[in-house]
Amino acid sequence: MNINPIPKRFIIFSGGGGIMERVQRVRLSTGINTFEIENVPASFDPSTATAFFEKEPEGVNILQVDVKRPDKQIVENFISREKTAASAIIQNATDLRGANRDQIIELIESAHYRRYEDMRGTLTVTIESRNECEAMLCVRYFLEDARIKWEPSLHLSIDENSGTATVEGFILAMNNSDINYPRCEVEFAEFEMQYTPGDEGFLNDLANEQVAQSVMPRNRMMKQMKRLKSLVK
Amino acid sequence: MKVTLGSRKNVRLNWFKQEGVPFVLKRELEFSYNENSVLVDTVTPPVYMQYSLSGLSKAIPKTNIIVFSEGLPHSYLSTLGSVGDKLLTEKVVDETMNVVDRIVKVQQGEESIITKPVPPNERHLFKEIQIHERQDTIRRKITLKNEGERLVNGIKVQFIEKKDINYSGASKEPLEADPPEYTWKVDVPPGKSVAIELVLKRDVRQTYKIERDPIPQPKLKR
Repeated sequence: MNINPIPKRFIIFSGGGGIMERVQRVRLSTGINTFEIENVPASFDPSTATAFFEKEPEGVNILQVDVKRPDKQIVENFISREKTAASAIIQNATDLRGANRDQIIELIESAHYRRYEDMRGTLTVTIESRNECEAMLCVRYFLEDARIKWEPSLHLSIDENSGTATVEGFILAMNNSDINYPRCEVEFAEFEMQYTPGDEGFLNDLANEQVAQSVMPRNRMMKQMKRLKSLVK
Repeated sequence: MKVTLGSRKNVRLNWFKQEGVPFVLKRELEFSYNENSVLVDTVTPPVYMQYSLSGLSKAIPKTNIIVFSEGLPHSYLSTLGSVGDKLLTEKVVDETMNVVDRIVKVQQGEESIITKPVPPNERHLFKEIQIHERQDTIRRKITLKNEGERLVNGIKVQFIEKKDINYSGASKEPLEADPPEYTWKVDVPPGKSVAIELVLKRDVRQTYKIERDPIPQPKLKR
């Protein structure tokens, strides 16, 4: 059964990426229940993805979590074709001033900037239940997407006569992925980084790992983080 | 905080607002000389300024700061983040303060010569080693001019002694004398200048190896 749990908590990291926690009430029937989670981006980390219940009901057991990222090389071939098609639409368009102009531009922009991280990964939870019941199923996974990040900024209005200032803090959160995160509780974590990821993001070398077929998936994002400095709520 | 993060969108969120935060604008002029720079005619060292805020209710990470004064953007600064309830901005050059450091007088001291024997392996080349030592007295005048329209008070002027360049005296007694650091606090009214004249001692030590007199060669008979 396909389910689309709503984002409940999203901790965005200053260097890019974050942790996503999604939750949905599910109806469990006696026996084996399989739930395929929709809208899991390919940038999710299969090595640390977890599923759990908010309140574990009696006689219910999570058997396994199936995780898979799509093949990067194959996906990139598709994306390349999509980008070419998007450019061709713009170049061959006779009139782009119609009523649907904004929608067309949004569509083309989405195709033009699409990357491997925007594809869908597989996250399937298999649950064994001894009786029929309802439970709040949660899934949690890291997002290794450097295009999701945040940055604070401060405005300091000083009054030299009184020697006091008004401090206003702002947060600029950036989501340059193809996925929407509607109305979720967002927190912002600042990490001390080994180094800042470049424009290529965290998953640049993923194709090599997948081609080898004998390498266990590993988290590339957390390896670069030395320590948590602060968490802004 | 509840946020909707749309695809390919940036969201700007109000994080916090705190009024009546006490701040101090620290200004600092730090200078020192080496054997050569102490004799340079004119030096224009910069005055650095930095805001220090205390009593902040939120921990602030590394970020940029836009400073507004009288409703207008005043300067663009950055901070490495707050420590406890305190926040320091990074030091930037204060353009309102113009500092000129000029040489006034150089008085060469009396030279003393110490002679030392040459190491055995060089005895065939050199006769002796001469060490010439003297102490020069150098007077320099540091003038701080306030180009702004407000009184600038409490500029920390700090001289740091270095090897061979030592502090000997000043036209104005330092507020704190903790060698090798000598600190003054200076107030400069708008459009006015304040000067401090420093007397420095420069230890000069030069070593010469004196060559042996050439051994007269016997004339060859043909």
